[in-house]
Amino acid sequence: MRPSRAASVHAALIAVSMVMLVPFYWVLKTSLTGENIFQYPPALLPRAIHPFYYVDVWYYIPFVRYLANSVIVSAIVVASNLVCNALAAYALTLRFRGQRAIIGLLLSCMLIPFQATIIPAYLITKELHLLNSHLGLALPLGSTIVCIFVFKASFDAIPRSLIDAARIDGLPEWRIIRHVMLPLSTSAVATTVILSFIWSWNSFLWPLIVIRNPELQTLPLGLSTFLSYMENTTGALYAFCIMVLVPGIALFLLEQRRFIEGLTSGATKG
Amino acid sequence: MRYAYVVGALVLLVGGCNLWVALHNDGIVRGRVVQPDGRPATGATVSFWEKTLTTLERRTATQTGPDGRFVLTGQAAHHFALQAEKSGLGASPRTLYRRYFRGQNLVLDEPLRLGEGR
Repeated sequence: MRPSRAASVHAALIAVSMVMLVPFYWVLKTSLTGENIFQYPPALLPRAIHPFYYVDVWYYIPFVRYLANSVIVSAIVVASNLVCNALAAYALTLRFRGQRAIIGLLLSCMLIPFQATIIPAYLITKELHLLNSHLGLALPLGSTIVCIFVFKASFDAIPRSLIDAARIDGLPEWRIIRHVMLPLSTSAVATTVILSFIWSWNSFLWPLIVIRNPELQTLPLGLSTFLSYMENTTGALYAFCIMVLVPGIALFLLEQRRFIEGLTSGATKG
Repeated sequence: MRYAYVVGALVLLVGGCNLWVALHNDGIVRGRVVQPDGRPATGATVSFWEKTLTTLERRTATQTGPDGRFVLTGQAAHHFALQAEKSGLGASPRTLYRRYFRGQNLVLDEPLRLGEGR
């Protein structure tokens, strides 16, 4: 690509990126200034910056408790996804009767929105006596079909000869997954960690239904509670949003290279 | 390695902040009260109001000394209001103040001026 053409492509990409970043910038700016978001004409640059809305959020609501609950639930979800999805994906890489039917079934299940399955999910959680618990919060996100296919794509790219060699050496199947497949699928692991973390972190509807105890509320529930009793919400609300967003963004930034590799692995497999 | 750096930096940052807070959270508020003509107001009553989610709640009060200075101690609220009043000289406006953390020791830059409030 000629330098002038590359420069124009980059300029266009930067412009598009800026447009996509404007909402985030606006949230951050408002959280630091508390200005009226409906002000016209809007001020592009922040004036009189201060961190006091963050202080308000920290002290007016039990933010640390919400944060701890979100972290616990997300940790359970991430661990569960890594184990269950890797096992399921490994099974799907093997040849067996009905394999295509199972893959088709999983793919078709992806079309069903979570809202449609929420009543059976609630009843199952109730029968397991997991309502009002961290485990109950994590249960519906314990395994996600998208991540099964991310693992499957990654496992499919590993030469069969490696698995055969491991079997000849006497490794049981679970050790093949642990010591052969997973170390060669770090991108899939990173993708699963990030996706499951973000889904769990942002989950609102399920915690709203299964949690009655305020001590177990997660950050999205805390946000709605905060909205219900904060008189002037603009600055503090946006500060809360930033505080909720930061862990997910930090995790993504730490693992973005592997995340993108994981999502595209298998895409060019012949 | 990246995780170690990030986590290490966060631990240092949080630890440093907590140490700073622990050393500066006695809840002391110092300030001055002046009369409408700018002279120190002796014996004025300074009230401390804590700002809650919905309202202001009066927590404590103190008197100014001969030089118009006052000290409030043990007041942890991070968002509060102060108002000074003295009979015959009126009251100062009830002014809101913020602190970076609960109990932060604070010295007011501007004096509370009597006669300007309701």
